[in-house]
Amino acid sequence: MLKKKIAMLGAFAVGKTSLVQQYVNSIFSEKYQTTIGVKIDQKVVNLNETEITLMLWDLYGDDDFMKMKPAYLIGSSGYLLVADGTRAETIDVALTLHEMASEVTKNAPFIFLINKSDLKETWEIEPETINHLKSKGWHVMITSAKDNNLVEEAFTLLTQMILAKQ
Amino acid sequence: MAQHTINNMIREFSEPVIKYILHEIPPYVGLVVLQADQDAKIKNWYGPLDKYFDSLPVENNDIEEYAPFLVGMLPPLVNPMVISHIQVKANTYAEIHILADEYNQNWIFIIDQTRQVEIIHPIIQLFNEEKLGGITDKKQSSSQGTLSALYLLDYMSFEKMSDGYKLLGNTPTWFEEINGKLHFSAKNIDLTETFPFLEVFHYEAEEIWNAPHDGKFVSGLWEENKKNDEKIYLQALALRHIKRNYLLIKPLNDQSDINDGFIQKARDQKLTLDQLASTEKKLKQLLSFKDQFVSIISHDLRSPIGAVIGLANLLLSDTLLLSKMNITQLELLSDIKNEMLRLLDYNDKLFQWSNLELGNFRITRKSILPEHIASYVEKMQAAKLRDKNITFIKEIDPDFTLNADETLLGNALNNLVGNAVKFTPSGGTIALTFIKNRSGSYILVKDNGMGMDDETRNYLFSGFTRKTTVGTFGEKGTGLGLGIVKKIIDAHDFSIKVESETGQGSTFIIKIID
Ligand SMILES: Nc1nc2c(ncn2[C@@H]2O[C@H](COP(=O)(O)OP(=O)(O)O)[C@@H](O)[C@H]2O)c(=O)[nH]1
Ligand SMILES: [Mg+2]
Repeated sequence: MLKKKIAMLGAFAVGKTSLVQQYVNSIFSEKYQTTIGVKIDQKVVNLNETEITLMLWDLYGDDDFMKMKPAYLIGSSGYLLVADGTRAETIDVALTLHEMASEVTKNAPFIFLINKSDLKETWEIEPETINHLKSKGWHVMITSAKDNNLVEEAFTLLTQMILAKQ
Repeated sequence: MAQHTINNMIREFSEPVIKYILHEIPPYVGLVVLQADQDAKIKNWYGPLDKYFDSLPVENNDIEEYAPFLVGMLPPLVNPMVISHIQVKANTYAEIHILADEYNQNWIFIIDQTRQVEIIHPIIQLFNEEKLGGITDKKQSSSQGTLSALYLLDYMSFEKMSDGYKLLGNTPTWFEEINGKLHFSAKNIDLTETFPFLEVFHYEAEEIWNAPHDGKFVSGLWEENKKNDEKIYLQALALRHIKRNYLLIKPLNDQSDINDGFIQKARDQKLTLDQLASTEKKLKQLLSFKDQFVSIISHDLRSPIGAVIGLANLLLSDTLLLSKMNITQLELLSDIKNEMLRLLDYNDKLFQWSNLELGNFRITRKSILPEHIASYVEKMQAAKLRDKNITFIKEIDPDFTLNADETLLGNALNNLVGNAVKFTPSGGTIALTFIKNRSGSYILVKDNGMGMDDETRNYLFSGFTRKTTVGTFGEKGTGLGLGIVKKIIDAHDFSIKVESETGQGSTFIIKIID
């Protein structure tokens, strides 16, 4: 059976774990429990009559407290860069991680997710920033792990991109 | 100086110490920190000390006495100094970091390594057996035998073969708890099917496994779910020993170590700080919006108010009209004019205030003549001074020099003198003094009026105030004037204070800093 590794990358507390949990187990928790190390979840999907097992690598966030090891990205067929729409600085963290990831994965497909779209009042990211990301030809999606908004779509699109690249 | 919990640590340490902890100390251990001064006297301690010590330390006692394993270690020969696998107590091993900070304080970090030593110990044992010259066959089996028994200590042990892994001994109980299954391909085990994490670990472990000498490499943590929905953290250890390769997997069973880890706390705290910072930013934006709003409105109100005053003036100068009015009507008309003048003044001050708040003013300092500014103030207040028959005294030290924004400082002094006029009874005296003495240059605005109580003095410069004091002629204030004065003085980096007592008059003192 086809197996694909997908890495979740982004600053801490942007919602990587929540996105995976929403996608795999359809659950969301308000409580923040920082990920230490790596948690790998699996999800079997059917796309274009192919059965694929997605290996979702939920990695700890990259910050002053812990640095991401490039080795964790080896073998990834694609990755989701996650930022938090209510914390503008998480965009920069995602961009830095993208540099590392595109090198290690030899330009594997990725999608830029700006998560927590349900938090309108504290939203910090300007439309110009999003347009700027899109202008690089990147896929940008505004998601909410809490409201289950565009979560499945994001994983499906990434899987399609991975299959198309084969 | 009680024992501090890890929770409080981060708040209390200096930045370099926090940085050291965050970058150099693994996040999942119950960290103990001892602080000693340059004479190696104990100053402070943090974390679960009972892990390593039988009693609590006593402040100012010798640290070497409390922690014998530190004898001769302070101050560190190299900074920081790290020593691994120190036996701190029977059956307890630790890694010790000694860091001297820029204040010559010695920081000792103690990290539990008992589990690691437990793994390494049988290997060292084997190593020594080999050196003692055992029989080759026996050696092999004894090496595997020891590793095989490790499952009793919760380890899963494998020998790495060219095409997979061979399980040594049995599987430990936790493997059952996480629903683990071993996948065989041909006669060996494909471990990455069970632990996909090992895929990346292999890249790092291969270095050890292909090395010409013995060695070990420890992986990062990964998380697995237990059947009961709890989680478990696992860690792998790659070993090369006498040309054979092994892989051990151990659980970090001390959950409390992980949950108490300050990574979680540090991140929680960082999140809160980030939220505070962004709230502050938004508040500032709102405030600036408010000031802009006030600025625009007060600017636009100026002309209609001016028009009403003009109209009132027109009516008041119409003798024919005035002759037809009775006394009450006349009083009403002049009240309208006075109220409108007051409104205009209030409005002007609001305008100034909001622009000061917005930072819409630039200080242009130049050398100005005190005489000049004093005369300006006198001229501005001339009518009111005359009305209340107040004597205005200007005293100017010939040595007095002043570098300031003439318009803004003139405005501030005008506000202060205007205020003094308000609170000084008829026939009183107001002095505007520019003095220079050994302790500096000062501008004083002194009156012999009503003075003020402590409470009034305290809120005086706070910007807006609801409480405005009525002057000696019943003059009403705007509550804005002194706020503006304070802004202007601050913008110059000068300082202002007031000395006053009820009934004794007030003196405002501006200290000039050149
Ligand atoms: N409102 C809202 N909160 C979210 C969303 N996704 C995650 N969170 C919260 O953000 C915090 C961090 O989420 P987590 O998934 O642990 O982030 P990670 O560190 O990137 O794995 C948790 O308190 C979540 O409940 C979302 O879409 N909307
Ligand atoms: Mg996480």
